[in-house]
Amino acid sequence: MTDPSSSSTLAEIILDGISRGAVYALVALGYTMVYGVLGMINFAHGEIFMIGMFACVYAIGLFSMAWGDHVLINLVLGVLLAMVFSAAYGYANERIAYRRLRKAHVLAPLTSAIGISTFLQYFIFLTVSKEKVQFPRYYSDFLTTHHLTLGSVEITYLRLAILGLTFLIMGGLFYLIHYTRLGIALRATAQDQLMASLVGVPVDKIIAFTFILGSALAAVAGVMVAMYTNVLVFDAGYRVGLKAFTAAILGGIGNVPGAVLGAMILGLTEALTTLQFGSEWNDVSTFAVLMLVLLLRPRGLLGERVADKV
Amino acid sequence: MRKLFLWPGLALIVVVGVALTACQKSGGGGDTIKIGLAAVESGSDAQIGSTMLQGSQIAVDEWNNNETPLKTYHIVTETKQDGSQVQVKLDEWNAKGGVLGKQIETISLDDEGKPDKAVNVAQTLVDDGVVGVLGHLNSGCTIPASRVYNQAGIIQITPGSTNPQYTEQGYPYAFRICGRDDQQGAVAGAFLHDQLKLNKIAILHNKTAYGEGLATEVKKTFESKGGTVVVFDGIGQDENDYSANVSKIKGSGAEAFFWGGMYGQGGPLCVKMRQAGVNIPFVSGDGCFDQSFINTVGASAPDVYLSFGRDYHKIPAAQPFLDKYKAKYGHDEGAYSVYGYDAANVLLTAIAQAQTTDADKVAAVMKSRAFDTILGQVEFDAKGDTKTSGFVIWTIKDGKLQALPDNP
Amino acid sequence: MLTRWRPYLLGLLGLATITFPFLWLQLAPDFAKNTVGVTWTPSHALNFFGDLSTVFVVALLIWLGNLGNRHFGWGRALARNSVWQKADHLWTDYWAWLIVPLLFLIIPLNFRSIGFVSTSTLGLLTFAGLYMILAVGLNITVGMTGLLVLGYAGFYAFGAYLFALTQQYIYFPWWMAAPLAFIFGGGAGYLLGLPCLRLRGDYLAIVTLGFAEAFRELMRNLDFAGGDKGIVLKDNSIFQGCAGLTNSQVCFAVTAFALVATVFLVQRLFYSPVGRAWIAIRENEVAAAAVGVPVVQMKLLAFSLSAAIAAVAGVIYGAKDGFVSPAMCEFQQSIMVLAMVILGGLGNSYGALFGAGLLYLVPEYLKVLPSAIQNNDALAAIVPSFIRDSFQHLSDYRWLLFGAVMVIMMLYRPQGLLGSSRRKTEMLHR
Repeated sequence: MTDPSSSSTLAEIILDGISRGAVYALVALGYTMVYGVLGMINFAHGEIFMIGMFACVYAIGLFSMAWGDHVLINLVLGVLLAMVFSAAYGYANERIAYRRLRKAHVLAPLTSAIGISTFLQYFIFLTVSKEKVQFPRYYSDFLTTHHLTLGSVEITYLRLAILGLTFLIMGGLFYLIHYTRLGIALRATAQDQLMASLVGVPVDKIIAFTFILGSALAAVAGVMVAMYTNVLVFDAGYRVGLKAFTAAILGGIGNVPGAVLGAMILGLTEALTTLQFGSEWNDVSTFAVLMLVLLLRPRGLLGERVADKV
Repeated sequence: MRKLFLWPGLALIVVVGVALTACQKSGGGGDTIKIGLAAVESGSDAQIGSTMLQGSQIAVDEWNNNETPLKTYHIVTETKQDGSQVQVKLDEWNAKGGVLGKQIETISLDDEGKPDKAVNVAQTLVDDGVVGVLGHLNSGCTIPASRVYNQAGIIQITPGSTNPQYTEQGYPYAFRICGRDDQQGAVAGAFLHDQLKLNKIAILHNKTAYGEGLATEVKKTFESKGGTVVVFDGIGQDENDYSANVSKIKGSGAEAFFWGGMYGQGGPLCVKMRQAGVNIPFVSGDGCFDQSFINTVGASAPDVYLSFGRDYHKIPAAQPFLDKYKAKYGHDEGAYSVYGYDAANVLLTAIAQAQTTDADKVAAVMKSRAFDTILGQVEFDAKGDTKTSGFVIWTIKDGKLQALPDNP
Repeated sequence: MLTRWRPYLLGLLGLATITFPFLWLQLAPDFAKNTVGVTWTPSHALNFFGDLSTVFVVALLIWLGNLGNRHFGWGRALARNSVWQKADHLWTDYWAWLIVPLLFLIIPLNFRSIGFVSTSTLGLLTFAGLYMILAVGLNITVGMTGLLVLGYAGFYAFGAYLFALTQQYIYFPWWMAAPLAFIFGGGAGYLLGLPCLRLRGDYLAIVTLGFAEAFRELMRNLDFAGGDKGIVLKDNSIFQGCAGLTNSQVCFAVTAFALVATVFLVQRLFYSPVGRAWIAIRENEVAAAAVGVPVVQMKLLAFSLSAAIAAVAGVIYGAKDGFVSPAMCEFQQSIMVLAMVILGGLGNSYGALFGAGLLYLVPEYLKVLPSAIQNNDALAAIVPSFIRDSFQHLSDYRWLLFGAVMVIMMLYRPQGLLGSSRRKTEMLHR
């Protein structure tokens, strides 16, 4: 297409790709953290993310019934409550479905996770809504309509928030894992649970903490995505989860910066595919990228953390 | 101990299964005429499918209780056994209720919106000995199922599948009471080009038989009128992030946008475009014709146009049905309830006039005359489509969908 | 007493709290102002969970009965009966596995001759047979070799499309398409497995899942593959009635034959050195490599064999219904087959057959149950109404149950319904 605005279109598309990548990254961080500590794919992470979305809207609904529509208070409290809720779901998952299987064959916790994922999806499907629910736009309007102008592209506050949050969480997790006492305990648990418990690391608590932290982060991601796409739906977690997982593998699973890098690459691939070939080829191109990376760099772009898996 | 329970367990499953099958058969017997109802009744499209079948069910109940308002009384000639011909008024039969003097039994099955399931459902209905089928809803289900019905010699009327391929397959017993995508696409395409006077449009679709089919027809019409389609892309049905698509449309300089798909994605897509500052007209088809679409885009959304059939709320003949529906099911009708009701009435009227359930004769009757339905007179052409499509363009006004006044 | 139950009570309380809003409240969006509220509306699912608790009570009673049996020996005389011991012996004789598929083959055909099995039941059984083939195939990787495959339906659709495309563009008899699909399906599995089987098992899970999704998208996008509508072949079914059998009986017979052949092949392999190698890999990959098992080759063999079996099942499906569509490789389909394998018994072909039969046929029968009850006065009198009500929505609730089945089985019976205790030890202790 010979279009005068094509360079600004390209810039916008790249920005879209980065935002999309940031959404994947927020979820991928949760995957990669659990993988780093436990060495298992928490397949239900996408569903925790979805629960976070719904919990936030429920909370906003309750608060607005209680004291009216105050955007900032309700939104902040809603996010906090969603974090608590998601964390509770994450903890319940760990307690019910994974703890007993910690020493089991790899297959067992993975299957259990898929079961939990299916269960939670259809739980929301049957109890909340079969159809898409829209996010109350009254609360997201400020973030979606105001924007920053950089050259020819406009970045909404929401995108800035998503991007900022992604890198903030990435940095925070990196710091937590590598420079704090808790991080040492996490790494010790990741390396050898028995040995860690012998030297006084409370392994059960550490693992529970991993799930709680990952789930709370998933809730934040969920609220952001709900505002960004305006849509809450029972299978929202499946698709984003699948992409996020692919991103985590791309970057090297268990590797925190790798997850973000992989997610960005995936988001950009999809956005550019949309521009060049049409969005119907998104899934195919994602898969092609995944296979290519697995062929050329089997352990991901930044490498899987084997020694300190977190 | 475990093994002790295994064989009896297995045996129990087999026995229960066989018993159930047996029950089904013995229960299904008797002197009734069976009509199959098939549509998606579970999953996320459950609402639209089950409300459609509920419309058909009301029609069948009316026939059974002999209270249908649309029953047309015919005087037909019947040949007696001795060769003499006498004139019989059908209402002598009809006085008993039902059709052909027999009660009508409906067998309602759920195709889950999945094509492979639909073929299975079709086979089950054929085996159960139905004489006609009202359904399915999704084009992707209707098309593979139609082959099963037609090879078994069963009349099928779909109240809601608009994909042209269904009747283009050349099956003698396949009918459709709603419009076709190419009729709808032509109306939408002509509206974009002739009434909005635009030359460049962007099209997105949801990659389903319905969405892509409709989008392709719009593209065809629009291009044949001399316009250009600058973007023609598909979006996966579970995709919720449209920002890259919107940026592409924005960059392409399109003057209007057409969405071929359902309201679940259409609403947020429209909102996303408005948020990104793309204020071009948003046009879509019957898939977006739903209250929740208005809820999403807002009651006063400007420049939103949908193509859909005639406004049945304004037809006096529809009112008794709508009231009855509300009274029976406790909620408002769905987008296809009226079509389901009409399809059932057409099928039963045709059977009554043919005085047989033989598919050839019923199909001949259906193609030979016009039927009074609450959506007006319906005539079928040789393919089984209705002769008048009746698609008009609607827009959102005062929080409601209203047909544009300047439509033909 | 209370101390012992306290964690459970607390746990239940916690679960009640976190499910509370979803179960009892309903979102009430205000579209004019774009805000949201909530209303007190107990969801329909509550009825279902209520009914489920009734089922739990029944299960508890059965369990108590079983306990009594163990303590007071109600069934001991029965257990000593030699018939059971012989039946016991049958499980361990590997060729005896063939009896079950053979029974599966013979019974409906015989019943048909006395007019017992209706065509629709035969259709159900044919489908169950296809799922059994899939379950036995998936069992090779998941159960025997211990690799998780999440996109198994991708290969199923691959075979079906291979068949439909060859039917449409170059004429090909179906009995030639089946071996072809076996080869090509195996080849696809080999190519897919090659990059990721060198790595840990988790990669295979996600790559196969990606493959199924990408294949579905590809088939939807390609015009010659019919897009979303799929390919509708001219004939209702490639199988014609012959030798006094109707069309659906031929379909059934072909499926049953393929099932017998599959079970035979898999069982022979399982009891050969190859099967031993698979078990060794499953139990301890490092140790297996150390004693000279060619780990990667064996994994590849298992994976491509199971892909090939799925492709053949796909061909039979395509030939049976004369129709294929991208919906065949949805994630749900893969999950369903996986749930069958897990429920029946990981690593046990017979268990996979059992699981497939159970998970496919029971929901199908339960679906027709309400109408069957309505049509039968005797049944209507004895079956309580709540069962009818919840069965009406069964196809939606089914997935909830599938998920729960997978978790509960992994926690309490990881070897599956028909697994050995040895498998349980393996699964629970790494």
